[in-house]
Amino acid sequence: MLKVLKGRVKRFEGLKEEIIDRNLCSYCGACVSFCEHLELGPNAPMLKEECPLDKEGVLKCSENGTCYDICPMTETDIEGLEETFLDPEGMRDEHFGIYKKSIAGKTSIEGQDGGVVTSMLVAGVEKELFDCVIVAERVEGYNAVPKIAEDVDTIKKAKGTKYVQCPMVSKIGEAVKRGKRRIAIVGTACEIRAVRKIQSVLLKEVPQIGITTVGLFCFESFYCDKFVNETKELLGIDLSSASKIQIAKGECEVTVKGRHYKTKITNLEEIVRDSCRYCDDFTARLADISVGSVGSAEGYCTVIVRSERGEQLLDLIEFARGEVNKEEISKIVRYKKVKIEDRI
Amino acid sequence: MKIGVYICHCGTNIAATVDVNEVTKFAKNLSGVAISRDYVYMCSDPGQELIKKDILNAKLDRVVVASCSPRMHEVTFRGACEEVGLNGYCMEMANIREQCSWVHSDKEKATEKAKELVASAVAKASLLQPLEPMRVGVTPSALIIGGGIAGIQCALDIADAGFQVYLVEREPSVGGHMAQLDKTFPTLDCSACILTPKMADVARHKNIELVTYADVENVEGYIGNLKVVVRKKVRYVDEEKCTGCGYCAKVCPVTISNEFDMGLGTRKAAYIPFPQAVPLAYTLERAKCMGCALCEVVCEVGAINFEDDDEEIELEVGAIVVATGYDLFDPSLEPNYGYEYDRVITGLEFERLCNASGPTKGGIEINGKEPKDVVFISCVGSREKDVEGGKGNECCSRVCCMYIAKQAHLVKEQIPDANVTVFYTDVQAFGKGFEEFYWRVKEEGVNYIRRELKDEIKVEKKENGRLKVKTVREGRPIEKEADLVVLATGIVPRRDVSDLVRKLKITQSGDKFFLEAHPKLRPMDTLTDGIFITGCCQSPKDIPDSVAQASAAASRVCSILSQDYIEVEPIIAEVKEELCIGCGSCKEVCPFGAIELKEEERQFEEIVLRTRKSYVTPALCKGCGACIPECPVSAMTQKHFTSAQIEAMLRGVGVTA
Repeated sequence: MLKVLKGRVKRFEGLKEEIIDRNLCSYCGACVSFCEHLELGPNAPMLKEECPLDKEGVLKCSENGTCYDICPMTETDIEGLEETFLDPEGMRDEHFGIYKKSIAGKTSIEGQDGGVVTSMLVAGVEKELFDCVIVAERVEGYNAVPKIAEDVDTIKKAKGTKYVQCPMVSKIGEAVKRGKRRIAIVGTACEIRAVRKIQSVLLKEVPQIGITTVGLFCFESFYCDKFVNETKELLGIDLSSASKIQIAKGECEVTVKGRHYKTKITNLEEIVRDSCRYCDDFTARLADISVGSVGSAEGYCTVIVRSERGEQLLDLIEFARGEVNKEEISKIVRYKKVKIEDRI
Repeated sequence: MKIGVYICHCGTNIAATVDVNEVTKFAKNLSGVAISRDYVYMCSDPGQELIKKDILNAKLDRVVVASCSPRMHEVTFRGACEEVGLNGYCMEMANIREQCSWVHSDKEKATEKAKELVASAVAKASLLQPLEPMRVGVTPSALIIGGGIAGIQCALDIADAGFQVYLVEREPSVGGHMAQLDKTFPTLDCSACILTPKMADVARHKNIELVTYADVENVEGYIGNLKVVVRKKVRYVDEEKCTGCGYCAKVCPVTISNEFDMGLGTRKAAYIPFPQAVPLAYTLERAKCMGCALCEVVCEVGAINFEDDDEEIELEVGAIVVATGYDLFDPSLEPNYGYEYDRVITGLEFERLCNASGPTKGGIEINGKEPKDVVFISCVGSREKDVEGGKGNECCSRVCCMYIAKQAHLVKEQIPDANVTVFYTDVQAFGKGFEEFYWRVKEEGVNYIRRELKDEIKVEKKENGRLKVKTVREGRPIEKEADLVVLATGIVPRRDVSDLVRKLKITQSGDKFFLEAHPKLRPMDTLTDGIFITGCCQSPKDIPDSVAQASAAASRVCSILSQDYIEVEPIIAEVKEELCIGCGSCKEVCPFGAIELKEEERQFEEIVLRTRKSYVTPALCKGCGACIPECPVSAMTQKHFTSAQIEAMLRGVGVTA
């Protein structure tokens, strides 16, 4: 009996063993995005029915199982993805990654900092650069849920940083199934990495689907329930009534009804998601365009343009320019790296 | 009552064992007999003339012919009677050949028996009633089940004759096993090259409606008037819209072992089984797909539909041809063949291996290497009557000897220095050009070694991965090393053959292949009128035989479809309504579904009574008689075999109640 045999395919079991069971899942939702046999549990994805790879005759699903292949926490060829998706002529910087340019900007929209992300997304939808945007919307009890936003109001409602993990990437598949072909997604490094892996594993031969990735600077994120409990304990506040949360310069500042409450970021060390402790990508180096507060003056945000698509998006909006302090960004990147090395 | 009795000599077939003169004299004295004659061949024209003249001149109203089995000549003698105005059902036959002269040697006793048989027939004849054949209309279309070469040929022939044909195929493409083959013996034509034009013809023919990826669910009705329900399995791809561009397969992330390549190659969850598939429409195997819907994204014509569902199609046809083909014997049922080893393959796997459009692009290789020592083993799963632990057929599969010869030739052609050995038991090279081809292959240096079927042959794996084939030649053990063993697996009935038997109410022979109505004279008919069999579902056969039988079946079908009506045998069951109590026991035993229970309302003074009565659909009843003894109140009678007639026959042979 000569047959093409099933190779050693890692499949979901492998993902569970290597990532989920070791608390390394970033809860980005990539795995459930295109596979109908998986669903998101409260903390991690799980198999809801028999995996096709367990069925007779099924040899491969992508290479190691699509879920495994697109997970941002499994082994990733970062350089390869940079080559594929970012400007080949861009500048290369150890801490910034590949970029065409970096600027500081402030728009008329009031966002977390300069409102650049919200402005770009609104412009992108209005000027039909994409049909929808996947954003994180705050819901009851200080949690965030991903949403496919097709109009300006929904995008604007989603402004502001949430600091908790939200399975943004899970919505890409849904958007595609709803007929969306030009999709924008806002996300942190792990989420953008997942999107790039989806693009290289699943969408290589699918030029019909274009994804614009807007990366957010991210030092780390917190387990949502723990974040709520911890801020209550430390600051005596109910996080769900907070109007803004800002982590900057070693401090976490929560604004509730116009009053500011602060605590040192080191006090929150225990509630950091485990997967974040292994991530060294502060600036979302695979995104078309990355945005964050670090490196620019208050009220401004730093914008790193990494690809043609990113530049196109930035060109849609008007903004006041400011100076970028690259050293400030490099410092944080270095600090994040050191933190991981300490752990390893 | 004037009965004429005609005793046939059948040359010496009857006359050598039965004293025909004495029987003739005996018959003359039987009650009601007006004339008794003998003749050397009653079925001949002068013989029939004899009967006809007597009917006219002596005004006979009943005829008894004592000759061969009614299966042979009942129709002949009925016809003779009809020609001169006597109802054909007023003729009775006594079988004094098969049931007497052929099975006895004592002339005296055989003569006595012949007398009794004649007496019995005469007794029945006096009670015979004239019957009229029923006429039923004909739907001028045919259903062919199975789109292999037999089904394709049959469909084309019927369609060419101008009739509508529905060709139902269970797989996503027509083509069957022939599409999997590389070269065909003994001419070495490329199988696909001669098949694919026919596949294309079937798709293009204005009179053929191709229904692929579909199963026959239900069949009702009778010859000329069959109602068939076909379930078209969901493809998730609109056959009409699909252009076969293959973009869906390109983006599909799920890789599956390709059944068409016998698992030697792969396909995607969105697939066509092979490049020349007809119809050229993709199928999405949803059960093994992850639902990413990327196929839907890339399909430029919008052919993919995840909301798609099975579809039921109702067809009305006048005749059905079953051409469902075969399965290959599963050699893992007999572990001595070592099929578990990757260097042991079946003949069909070899076909994919040496096929230019197969997974190795025609390279005969095992794990990337050309084999140098190749052993073929014949009769795997065939001719296993005396094979201990045999799980295969008793019959010969008729194609293996020749496909081995062809495959051995292909090995020698591709790898000239290969040592090719064939362990065989008789080379059945019976067809046109077969023997010549067998000698050609032997002359090419293929080593044929004979073994007896009862001697076990065992394939073992050596530590170095090579194989060892052990058996016995002329009483002495023999061993051959090999790096490829090809098992000439035989043709066995389809796994789910009994399913179709049930749906079509046709029968199987002991070997589980479909049973023909007569092994010699009606090899493509079944015992159910209007349903025919062709190709390997009837018995193992090669391509030319399948094609010939398919054309033959097509001609049988056309002769039905070209009629305005069909006469159906009136020898059927009949319900005496006043006696029937509606218990339904007759319906339960009827193998043809000819009996229904009908609700009836009866006015009884002021009361309306609801009763059930059995009703026989005349065209469905085959007159088997199963319902007659089943009826607890004797409400069922069988025309032409009434209880009174049978009792009279018994009295005729001296049985008294």
